[in-house]
Amino acid sequence: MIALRLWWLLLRRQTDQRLTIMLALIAFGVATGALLTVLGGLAAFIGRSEHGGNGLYVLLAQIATVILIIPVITLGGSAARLSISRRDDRLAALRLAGATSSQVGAIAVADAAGQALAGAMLGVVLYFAALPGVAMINFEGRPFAWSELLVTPAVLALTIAGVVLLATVSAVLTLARIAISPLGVARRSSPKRVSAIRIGVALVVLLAWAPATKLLGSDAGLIVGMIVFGLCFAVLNLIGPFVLGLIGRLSVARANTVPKLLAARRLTDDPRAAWRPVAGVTLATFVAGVLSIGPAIAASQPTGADPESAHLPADLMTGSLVTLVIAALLAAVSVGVNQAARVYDLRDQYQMLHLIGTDVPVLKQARVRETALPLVASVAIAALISLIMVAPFGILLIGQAPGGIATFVGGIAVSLGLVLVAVQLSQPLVDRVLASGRMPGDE
Amino acid sequence: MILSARNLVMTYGAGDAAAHALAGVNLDVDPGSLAIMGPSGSGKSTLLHCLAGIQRPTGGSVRLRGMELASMSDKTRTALRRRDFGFVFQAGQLVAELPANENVALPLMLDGMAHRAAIGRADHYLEVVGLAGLEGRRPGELSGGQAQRVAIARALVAEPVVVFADEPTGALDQNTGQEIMQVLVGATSRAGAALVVVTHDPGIARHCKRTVLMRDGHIVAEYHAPVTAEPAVMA
Repeated sequence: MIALRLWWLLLRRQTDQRLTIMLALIAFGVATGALLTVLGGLAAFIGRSEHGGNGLYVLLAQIATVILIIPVITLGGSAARLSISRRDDRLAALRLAGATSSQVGAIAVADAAGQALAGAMLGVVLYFAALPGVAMINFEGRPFAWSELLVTPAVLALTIAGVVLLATVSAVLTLARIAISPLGVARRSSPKRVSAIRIGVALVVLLAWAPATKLLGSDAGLIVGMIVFGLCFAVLNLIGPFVLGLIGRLSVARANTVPKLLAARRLTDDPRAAWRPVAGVTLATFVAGVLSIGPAIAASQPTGADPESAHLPADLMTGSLVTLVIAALLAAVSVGVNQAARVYDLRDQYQMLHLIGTDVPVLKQARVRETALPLVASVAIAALISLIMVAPFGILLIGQAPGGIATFVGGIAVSLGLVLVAVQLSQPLVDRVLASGRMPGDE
Repeated sequence: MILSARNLVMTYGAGDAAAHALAGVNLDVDPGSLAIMGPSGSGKSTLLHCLAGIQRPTGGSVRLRGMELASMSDKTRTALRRRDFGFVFQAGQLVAELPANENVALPLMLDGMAHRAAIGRADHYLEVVGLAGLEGRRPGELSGGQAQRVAIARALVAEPVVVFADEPTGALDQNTGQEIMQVLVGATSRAGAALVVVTHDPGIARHCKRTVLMRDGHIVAEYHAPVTAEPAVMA
């Protein structure tokens, strides 16, 4: 009880935690809002199919939901890590005040869950705010009615509970990796190597994709196909950090400036941490790559004879773009949240580097480079894997439908642009950190 | 004389709430070692920050070889800190991702030296501070004392005219602290640089040839020999 009271006291007094809390709330909110919007869209297509609409739209909406649910979960996970990993002082103070390790852990998890709940509520507001915009989109020749896009109260409650559960599980996993003592929070001290076994696993999954696409015609096959698709998506996160580590090791030898050296060393030191800020962009690129075949499939559909399918080509294009916009939005929030949090994490280092004579533009250039290097690599990996994904459907088809290429290239350009904007938006935070008058190591 | 401070004033806030961290300090920094001692809140760290061009004083002047620091642009003062000054702080001063020799090489690379050449010189300075063989270790793989030695090597690698050390042993046990002070004073002296150490610990200050004592933003005493006992003003 004393520990709980102290936690509340520290929560109210620690003003420097406001940025972290705000970022976590935004991330949880956007993740929840996007999830509800996607589920609302799925419910609308199911509703239409029950009233004589084309059943194929339900299948396509399910695929879009599967595509988008993973970035939503990723963003939710990032938010949970953010809400728990920057509380070192508070967690240590609780231990110093006599709380046991498990009490502190429980309080920290409850803290993350509380933020997830508040963020999810914000997400519900965002969902309702987005409804008028979403309702203007035409599918099957007519816009949605608001009532079509509304999720049931049960889905709403389950979504909120799911976000809180996701935050709780992520918080428990994060806590398992740290040791909270009264003197501080201890983390790893040596570089993390990423095993080459990842490449082997990735190859096996990617090789399984082509046979899995043959099963897509049947109901059971659809489930298998979706599982393998999800696994291919996970492959991105397996290969990415390994390739980044490799690029980092190659770049160190050629690094002749401090920004290049810092960027290369960050990749070799913890490739997973370097991957995380660009993971959202990678997902958007992957989605753009997979959807690049949409217009090609649409163009190959017979038109005119079946009135049910008359709108299908245009709707496939619209559906691809809507999915891409939501994926890009999730990526933008993910990058923005990670970039802002990173300035807070590295404030000691920025102050120290400035103190020993690093010009502010050089410091900012280092930030851009340490994001750009993994970004370019991750976009290339995502593009390659997405092309492997669409290959079984006939990769040459893409060339016949310029709309697909435009979606793909446009998706990559928008994603890269978003990252640069996110980095630039967080640059004033560096100025603020340097102007704070705080010395490296100051509490 | 390398650095000279005249009538240094640093005031935080205004009116009744004004706090005078420095209230008209005069100090010359000559070759050799100087300890700035004083109780917490006496203004010793603020004085170091003003001398090193980290903070602009609200009044008075700091001159390095005749050049006024306060009139320099931020860019010029940053270059000055890179080329003419070295820094050792209590904690949080090494880049976690870089091995020891690259941490030491940073000021050289920031000034345009190629990686290979900078590493060569960094390795030499790591040897000077007794860390030969540990060049490839990262900060997380070093003890507190070893990390401070890396910081000392980095402070010296650009061959500065002054090394500033703010409570350099504050995070170390007493024995390691004494060792670090011996390394700091010895290496700085051999490099021909002046050393300014801020400390509240007489056991650390006794390593320096000259000591000034501060209280309430004023220099209240000065000794031109190592202080061997805690001065009464510290009580």
